[in-house]
Amino acid sequence: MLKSVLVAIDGTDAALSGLALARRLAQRHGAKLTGLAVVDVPFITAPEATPIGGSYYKAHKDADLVKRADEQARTMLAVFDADCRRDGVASTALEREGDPYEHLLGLVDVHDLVVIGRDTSFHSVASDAVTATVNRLLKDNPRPIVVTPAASSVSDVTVVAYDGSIPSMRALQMLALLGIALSGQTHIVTVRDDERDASAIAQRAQAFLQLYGIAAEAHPIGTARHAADVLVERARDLKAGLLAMGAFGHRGWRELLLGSATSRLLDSAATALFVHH
Amino acid sequence: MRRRLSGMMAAIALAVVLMVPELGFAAETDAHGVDGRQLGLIWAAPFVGILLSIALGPLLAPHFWEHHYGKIAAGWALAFLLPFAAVFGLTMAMQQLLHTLLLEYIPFIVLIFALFTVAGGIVVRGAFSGTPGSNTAILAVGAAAASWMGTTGASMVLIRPLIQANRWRRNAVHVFVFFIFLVSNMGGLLTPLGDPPLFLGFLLGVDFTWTLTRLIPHWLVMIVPLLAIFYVLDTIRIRGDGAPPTVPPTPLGLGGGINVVLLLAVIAATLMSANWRPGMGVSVMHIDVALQNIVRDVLLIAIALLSYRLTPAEAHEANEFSFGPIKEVAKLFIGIFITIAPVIAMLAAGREGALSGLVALSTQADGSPSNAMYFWLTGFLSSFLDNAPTYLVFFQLAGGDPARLMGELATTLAAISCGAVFMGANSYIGNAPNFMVKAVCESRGIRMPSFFGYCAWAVVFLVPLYAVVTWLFFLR
Repeated sequence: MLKSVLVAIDGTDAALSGLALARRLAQRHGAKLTGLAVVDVPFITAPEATPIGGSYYKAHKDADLVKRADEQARTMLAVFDADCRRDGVASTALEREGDPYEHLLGLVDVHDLVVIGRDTSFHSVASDAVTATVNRLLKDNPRPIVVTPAASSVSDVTVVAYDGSIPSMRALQMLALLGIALSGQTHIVTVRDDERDASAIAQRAQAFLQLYGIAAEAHPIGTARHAADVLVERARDLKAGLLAMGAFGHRGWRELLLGSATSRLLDSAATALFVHH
Repeated sequence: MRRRLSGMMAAIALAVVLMVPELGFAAETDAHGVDGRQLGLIWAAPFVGILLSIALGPLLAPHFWEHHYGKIAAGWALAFLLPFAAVFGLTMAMQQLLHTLLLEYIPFIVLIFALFTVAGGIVVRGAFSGTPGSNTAILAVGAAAASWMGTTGASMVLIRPLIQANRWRRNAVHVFVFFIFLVSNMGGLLTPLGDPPLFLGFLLGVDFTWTLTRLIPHWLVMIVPLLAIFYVLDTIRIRGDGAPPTVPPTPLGLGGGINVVLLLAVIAATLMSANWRPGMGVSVMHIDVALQNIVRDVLLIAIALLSYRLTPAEAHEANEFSFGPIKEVAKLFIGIFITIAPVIAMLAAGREGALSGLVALSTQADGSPSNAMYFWLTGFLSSFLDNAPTYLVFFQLAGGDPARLMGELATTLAAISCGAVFMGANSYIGNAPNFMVKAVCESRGIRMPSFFGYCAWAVVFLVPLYAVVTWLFFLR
């Protein structure tokens, strides 16, 4: 049961896409939604080399930027409040000053799920890369997290990337427990070198989801291609609104050689990623 | 009350000691008469210390630095003065201090204060759209104005209208980078008012018109190609920004116009001190301060105060004018000027001084100065340290005789001047207005390049031109 969602409020397209998804999830599940905007004061006021006579300008620039960030946060939170009221979502808007990761971490323990834009840094600056805040949250966070790209599709289709590994088992269970996959179609995609192996693994996931009343369709795929590329293509073909997977499960030679499937998906997927480990 | 009283007593005591030297001390040598041959490298430690403090303090201990930089500068000054008094006597230390204050520091700070105050009251009004043509024109005007109102003044007056004009653009960072190159640095080469190191040269005896008559070719070799490169770059980058908005034609004009008159008065006062030779002055502990210089400094202070009083509040608000930067400059430069004295004495000792290695490095086999080396060494240090003390060091390294430096060693003085002025553009910390422009841009939401990102712009666009300047002027 999804009872509470924490969403990061930032000005980028990816963050706005995350906000829309979080609001939809909260509305559908009757969950409480907390919107967090952070004025990243340590970042804004970070030390920098100044010439003689420059300290004055630096102090004023820092003050201007903190003020601007504060105004922007207030504006975004006001819009968040209004949107939640319009959609009938119970919400709390929070503004904090300081290190964004620390503030997120200080709130995750009282929420079931964190939703954050792929490039969220709380600086309202769009980026092609996954930000350090999101990466830290993916690594050190007890709750499942949904990471959204800039233009994620709005759909009730959930694709579960399942390879039989322990992280993917955890992610599957969490998805089922929270009931996120209940309201639309669910597909299980298993990518292995051998299709028969893939089929056996996918069927086990299918059977597990049936326990929660979720009728999932299995897609066993036998291929030597990188799993991440296949998953991106399949998620696109199925018009997925959410792609669920375990994260950072293996650290073996294969990942060193090919790169983590999760990292590749974070970089390239046009679908929101549900990650739990 | 007690503190004020004790402060007054101390001031009176100091005045008595300063004005009636016979009461306390007997002059042992000429003022500023430290024999550099007697000084070991350790005497340069306070100078190195204050430069490192200025460079690293804001990075390593920003809050401590912000609140205590004045005390740190005073600490380094005392780290030189107290041991110096102990070794060479109180009289020599006092003379050293007075020489620095009366002949170098006070005139230097007074001019910077006057230019900063007057320029800070001038506001460009009106609106224009940031296109390659108008941007290039503003950069050209700024580069020309910088020599007459100072690089800081020109930057302060023009950066806000330029930001406003380019607000509609998505790819305008290069406009502000080139503004730093041209207006905040290169433009200031032509007069002693343009850049503080050149004013130091003027105080040391370089003619007011020497830079104007001698350095125009160097100025043109940097300014013209940079403007051309900028125009091409801006023409390319504007393509991704869409059509410029239609700006209702608003005639350009000036707010705080009285300051233009006062700026002319600053120039006149400085020229007066260069040309009027009454042969009178005041002698304090054998330090002779010429009457024309006293009159100039008094006039400059009066002009600054007049400007502050007559400038409309809206003009100051539009420029976000504050005396904060000047206070910082005043506090740090007193430390620099005091601690640089032994370094200058060591350099004056030439091959017999502790800095003979530096002398050898900048001298060719036939004993003549290596002008290319002067250009690049002055420039390299000016890229990351303040260019005023750097200029002073190399001026002294080249002999420190203004008549000789304007005569047979004119190319060397040109190399030092060009190195100090041009290469201040190489980093955000090379020259004060560089950082001011960066800060003003960022305050308005413009994402300026990082420290090293900016240096990369300088390497790509400036270093090739430095090579051309070296080849044209300093290799022959």
